[in-house]
Amino acid sequence: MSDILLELKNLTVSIRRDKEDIPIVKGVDIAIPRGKIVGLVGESGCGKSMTAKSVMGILPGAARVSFGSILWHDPDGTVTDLTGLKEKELRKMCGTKIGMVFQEPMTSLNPMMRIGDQVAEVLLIHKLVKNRSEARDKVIQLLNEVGIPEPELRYRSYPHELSGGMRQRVMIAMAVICEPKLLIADEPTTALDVTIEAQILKLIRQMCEARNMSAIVITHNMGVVSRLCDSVYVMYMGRIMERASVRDLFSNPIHPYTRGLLSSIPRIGENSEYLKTIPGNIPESEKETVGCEFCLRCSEDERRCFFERPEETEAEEGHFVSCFTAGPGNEVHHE
Amino acid sequence: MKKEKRQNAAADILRACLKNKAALIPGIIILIVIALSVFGPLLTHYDETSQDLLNRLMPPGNGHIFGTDELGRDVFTRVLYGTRVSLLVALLPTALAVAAGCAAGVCAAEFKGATDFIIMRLADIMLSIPGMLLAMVVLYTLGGSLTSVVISLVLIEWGGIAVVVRTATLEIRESEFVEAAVSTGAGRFRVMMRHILPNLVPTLIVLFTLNIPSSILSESGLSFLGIGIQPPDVSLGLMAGSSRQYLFQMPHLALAPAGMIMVLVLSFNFLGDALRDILDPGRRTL
Repeated sequence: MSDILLELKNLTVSIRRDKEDIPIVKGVDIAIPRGKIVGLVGESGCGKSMTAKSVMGILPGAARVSFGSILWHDPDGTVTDLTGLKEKELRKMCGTKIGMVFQEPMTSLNPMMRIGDQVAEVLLIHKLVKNRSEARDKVIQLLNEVGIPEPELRYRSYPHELSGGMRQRVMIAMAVICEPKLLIADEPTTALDVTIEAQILKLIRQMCEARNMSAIVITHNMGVVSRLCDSVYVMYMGRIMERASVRDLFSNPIHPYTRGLLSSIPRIGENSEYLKTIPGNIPESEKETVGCEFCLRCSEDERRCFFERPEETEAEEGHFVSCFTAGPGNEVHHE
Repeated sequence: MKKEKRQNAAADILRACLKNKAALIPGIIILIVIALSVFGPLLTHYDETSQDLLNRLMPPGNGHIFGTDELGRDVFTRVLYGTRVSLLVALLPTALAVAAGCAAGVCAAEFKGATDFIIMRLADIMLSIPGMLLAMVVLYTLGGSLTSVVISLVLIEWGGIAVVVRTATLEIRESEFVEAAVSTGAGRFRVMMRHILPNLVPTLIVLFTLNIPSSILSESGLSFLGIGIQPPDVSLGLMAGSSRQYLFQMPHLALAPAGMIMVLVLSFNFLGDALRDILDPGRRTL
């Protein structure tokens, strides 16, 4: 039994526009170890949600996985490539082996269905219960576990009768009711306020630990990463820029982009007129770059970044960076 | 368990209707009109077709609440029987058209491609022909009768409904809760039955109630022109049509059926608006 649960290998997702394939995710390698929480960080439009959706097979219309593989490792050693599965087989995996929590708890529940029925629906889809009343008992037990007060009463509520935090708890219940091995959380707390965010993060952590479940947490919030994750992948324009354990990344960020992200976090007591930002904008993704994707906004003054893409190098043990400024023999020579 | 839940949902809606005056008042009016047309024979001792040529064109009074028409028939009795036809024409073809339009719209949105193209171009063709003209063609070919009026009304109405349902379905399909349902493993059919159709219900109810008045008006118009319901059958439009030559001498002959048409049309319109608000859980104020 390998300790890797899910492996994305050279995953490329493209959007077809005007008979041309525009890559959104460009050859990403991610490995999710069993029972660990992995963060995927990056700014809006960098392809982090697309990466997650490609795992679930719910990419929007024009997008598709054009290259690479998504390998699912079962405990008995069998490996399945999710990109090669038929729609029906993939739907069977979703829910039972992989659960997903979405960004917007206000719109990700069906407004015409009682929340209890919505959670029970998942059990009924996969025929994991004999009848509705058995499903009901299971759902009430789980609603209680995710911290919904008076679950018997709340079972009959419609989504609009619940607060955002409560709805996100219902979403989590929906995602984990079939005891999946992997939870994908796509910006789970972006739409919530800070106190609720802390509670939800704690809940996700608890759920993962209690079930030995792995998780991919997609976020643009470095604070979420530091509180929740074991390891982090930093993504920029469809590529992984840096990956490391949370401790290593926060104590020793190497890639200029990661350093920019971390120094952009405002600190209390800091007396500056402006918030720190990374200069420049995300370039239009249609234009294929030869060099490093970040070269236009990079603080380092290095010529070759414009013509050559840096390979991923191991800067320290378990800490990988795609930048010429990192790694042995790759130091930037300032003149 | 399932049955109990259904009943409770229906009870919820009923309770909300009773609280909402905008739904309650037109609802009561419609119920009264239905009761009048169903129990009509008990309320009058006249026959809707029996003539009394000695008492032609009588003003209201003398045992005739709305007077008598050009053949001495009791106008009140005829309005009651005419309302039966109008109600039948209000509900049956509209229900059929909504069912057909819904099926066509959902299929077009769900299967896309060629299916979508064929269904939508067919709907476009139907929409490009003026409704009355289409109805006239059908009625001339099949002959004026209740059945052919129903057929022509379904033909007029399904296209517009299909277009609206298709757009609504596409919108619901893109929503996050459908994405979430798919991510929990729901198949296409289940998404359609459990997520798309229930969320279409408010749209369908609005379409249904908006099309009821136009069905009533179309039937009245066709019968007024003399190509819809044929005598000796009674219809409100037919009555208004045949009384138009006495409009200045005996206005009540036209006002009685026209008033009934107006009451029905307005009540269904108001009820439809109120029901839409009640059925949308997001807007429900409980």
